[in-house]
Amino acid sequence: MTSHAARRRRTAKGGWPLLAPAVIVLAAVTLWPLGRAIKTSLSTESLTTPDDTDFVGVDNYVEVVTSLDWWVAVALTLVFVAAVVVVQLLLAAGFAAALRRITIIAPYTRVLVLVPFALMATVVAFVWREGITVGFAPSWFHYNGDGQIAALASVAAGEIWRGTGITTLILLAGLSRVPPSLLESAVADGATPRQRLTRIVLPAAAPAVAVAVVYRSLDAFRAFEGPLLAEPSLPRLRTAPLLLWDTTFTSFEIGLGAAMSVVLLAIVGFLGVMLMLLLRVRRAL
Amino acid sequence: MNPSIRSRVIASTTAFVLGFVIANYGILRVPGRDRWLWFAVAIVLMVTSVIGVLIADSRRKVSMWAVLGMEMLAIFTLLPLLWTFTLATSAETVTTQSLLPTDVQWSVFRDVLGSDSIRHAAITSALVSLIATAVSMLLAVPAAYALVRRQVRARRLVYVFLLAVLLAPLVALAGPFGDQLRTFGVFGSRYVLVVPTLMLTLPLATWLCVTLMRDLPWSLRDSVRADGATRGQTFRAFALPMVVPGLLAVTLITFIAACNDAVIGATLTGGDESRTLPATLLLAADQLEQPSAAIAATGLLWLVPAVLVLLAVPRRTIRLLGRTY
Repeated sequence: MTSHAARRRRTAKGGWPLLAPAVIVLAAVTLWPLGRAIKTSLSTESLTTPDDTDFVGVDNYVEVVTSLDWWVAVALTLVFVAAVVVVQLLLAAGFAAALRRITIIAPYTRVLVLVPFALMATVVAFVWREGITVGFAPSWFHYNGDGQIAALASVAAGEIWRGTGITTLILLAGLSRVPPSLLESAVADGATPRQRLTRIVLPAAAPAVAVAVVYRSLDAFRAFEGPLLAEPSLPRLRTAPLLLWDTTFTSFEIGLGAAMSVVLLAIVGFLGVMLMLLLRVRRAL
Repeated sequence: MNPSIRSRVIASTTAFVLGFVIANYGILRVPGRDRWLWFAVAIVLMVTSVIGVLIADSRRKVSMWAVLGMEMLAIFTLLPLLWTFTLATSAETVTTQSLLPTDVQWSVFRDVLGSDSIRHAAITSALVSLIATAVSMLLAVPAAYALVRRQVRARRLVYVFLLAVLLAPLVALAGPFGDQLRTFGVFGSRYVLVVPTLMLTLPLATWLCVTLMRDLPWSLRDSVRADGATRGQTFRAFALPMVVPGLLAVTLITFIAACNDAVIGATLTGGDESRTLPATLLLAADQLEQPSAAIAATGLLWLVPAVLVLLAVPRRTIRLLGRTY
């Protein structure tokens, strides 16, 4: 359906009375803490010394932006996100292509795809940490699981396993937009598999791929359980959300943590907008 | 569209080579009983390749690449689940090194079900998620209807706002939220968690409802109305078969997503009496003496109702998830 037709059907006026309650509640539960974060970030506030609160202006922001730890954490998070999303997309593309061709066992494949989504993220992160650092993987592949690389790999593996199912569903929705008649006539005209992929399948499925990249990137960026569980073996390699968590809830530097929150939200917002513009995501809005 | 003989033969060869490599690696490098697991995978792949060669020139529509992909999907999904089961039922005090369960101890499931702290946390999780989901659905359904069917100024702005909250890292808002709750003096209560959980459930529910409503055959409702159907008849003929299953699916998905979130539960709860299940497990991971069995068993027990719920969801609404989340 074109957006033109959709617009023509929206004849009834007065949508805001129906929409307002949801928007007001959502604004209340998100903009209020955001405003409070901005206010808190302008003072030194620490739960360990509650009476010692001073207005310090942008000092907290200067401290965050000039801190090497913070930018190392942001860079690590971005590398992590890129690795996770690329692997997820490749796996999910293969799975989606297979699922599209096999329809007789669809009810069971549905369960397969959704199991990682239904298992709690905490459990997924924990199980993968145990599996890759001490469990079956070191004994199969004969490596020492104590190192930082194994810990990083376990965080990435858990995140990949958890998100691949949902990515598969997104790509499956994209593949269902590929017109079968077009594929059949391409075969009849003697198009090679590569030509079919690049000229027919990819252009039709591109919007779904773009949506998958944006959603999975931002979801991997905020991954929290995995990095937190891996922290004992990765004390120097923390992701940005974890550094923020440590500052706010372990060292109780509320002012600094609030400044980090604002900077983190700004980075995520910038990332999301850039991805959407680069990939021309229109369907999402 | 029938797959060509060539594509089937290439797929069969790939399956055979993969199976051969896996079997050899299993024999040479994998210790203990896990070797049988590698053999099983290798045998499945080799049988696939044999079948692929046998049916290569038949007129069946089955694609060997798709079969191979399905097998990979099954292995990819089920092996970690088996590992979770092994971790849960292992009797050893150190983490077991083999993926196949060696000495299955079923008692851990009874222990978890009988544990007061876990039962309390599960009830907290379910209660908080239930209230938050119910509130969100009450707000989301009219909002989505308005976004899809009514004229709304600043529609794009609302969509951007919803999407921004849906994808924002909640841990960044949890700190200030906790501050605020402390100022109000309500920090640490179980029911207060409903408010921050709305950050998660409300945008998700609205977003899923919008996708659901975009797909509805509204022209059918318009013609039912034009033919003079009463409100009750419109409800029976249009809403009940078309809308209600979808809304049920949205509710269940939102509920599961809310239950799975650990960030809010870990940051905004004071003591054990108000902590949610994922947060309890997260904190238990590095505190308990032998936590892995309990955590894995809780995850598996939690998985059973969640999977049943997802199975109950009508098939076409599963596609909802693919179109939105």
